[in-house]
Amino acid sequence: MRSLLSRISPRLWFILILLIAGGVMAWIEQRDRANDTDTSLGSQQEAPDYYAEGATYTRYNDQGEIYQTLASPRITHTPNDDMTHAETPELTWTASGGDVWHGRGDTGQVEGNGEHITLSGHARLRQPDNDWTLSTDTLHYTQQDQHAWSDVTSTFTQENQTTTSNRFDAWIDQDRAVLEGDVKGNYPPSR
Amino acid sequence: LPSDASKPIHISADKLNLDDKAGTAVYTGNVDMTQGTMLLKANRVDIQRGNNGNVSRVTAIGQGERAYLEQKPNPQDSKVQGWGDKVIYHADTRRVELIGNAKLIQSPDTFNGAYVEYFLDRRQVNARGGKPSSSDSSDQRVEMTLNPQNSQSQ
Repeated sequence: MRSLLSRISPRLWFILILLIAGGVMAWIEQRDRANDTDTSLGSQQEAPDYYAEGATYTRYNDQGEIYQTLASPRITHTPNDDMTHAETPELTWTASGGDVWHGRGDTGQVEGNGEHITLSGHARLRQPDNDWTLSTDTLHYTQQDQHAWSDVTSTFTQENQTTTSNRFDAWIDQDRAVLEGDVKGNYPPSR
Repeated sequence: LPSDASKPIHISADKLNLDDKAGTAVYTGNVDMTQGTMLLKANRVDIQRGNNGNVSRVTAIGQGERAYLEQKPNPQDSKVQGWGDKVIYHADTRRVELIGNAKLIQSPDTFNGAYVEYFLDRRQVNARGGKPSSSDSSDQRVEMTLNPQNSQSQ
């Protein structure tokens, strides 16, 4: 055995050591990543301080008028980030002008007192009076400026017209919307 | 083509501004609009819809360069081309107004003036001079180049 080891050339020893060191470092790195995932998963699935089933939130402004409602079959609240997580939420926003807008998605995240809302998965924003409908993957809403927006591909329809774009913004108190980036509109023939 | 009117309208642009209170849909930035063989190019295009929700009027405005419209009246005809500071397409009546520095080539003839009106289906042209717009001081006279049928114009 000893004669065998002595016959191995220094260069071969060096390569062997390098291989072993590389393997150890890869194993350490793998283990750290596993720990990170555990911790990041941990914070997502942080224990809620409360949950509600078949819940409806209604928010009132200083004049006692309803400005936002949220209905969901299941709502959970995580205290550390003060985030409310809603399953298949159905939202309504009443604009200062009185128009009612509707929003929904597969999941919803509501920050604080409804100041900022993110709807994810088949998200949709609808304004029935104008017959405006926006379909996208992720929709954000900020109460302060009554601004709904999406920065992913969005499809806007009004009556029989359809327009797609890379970004969408709407100001619900102004009945105004802007589509931007690779805008493509389609209007069916009038005859 | 006569069948253009029964074709959908497709528009591509950089941006679309919708204002329901004003009832306007304004496309801006490299706007291309097509309906069958008709093509409209401009920097800005305003779409107006009738009560039935369909497109009733399209106003194309050229900023820097004139708005441009072309259409093929019939498969065997060469396309009609029109330019103007403003081009208005009336979808219901299939009428086009070229306003300001207006030019229409209906091969082999060419029409220039402050205002040219063209009926897509009847292929009738009306042109007149005058001031293209109130802000303009210069009068634009009507110039028509009627070429014999067999020679090809530009």
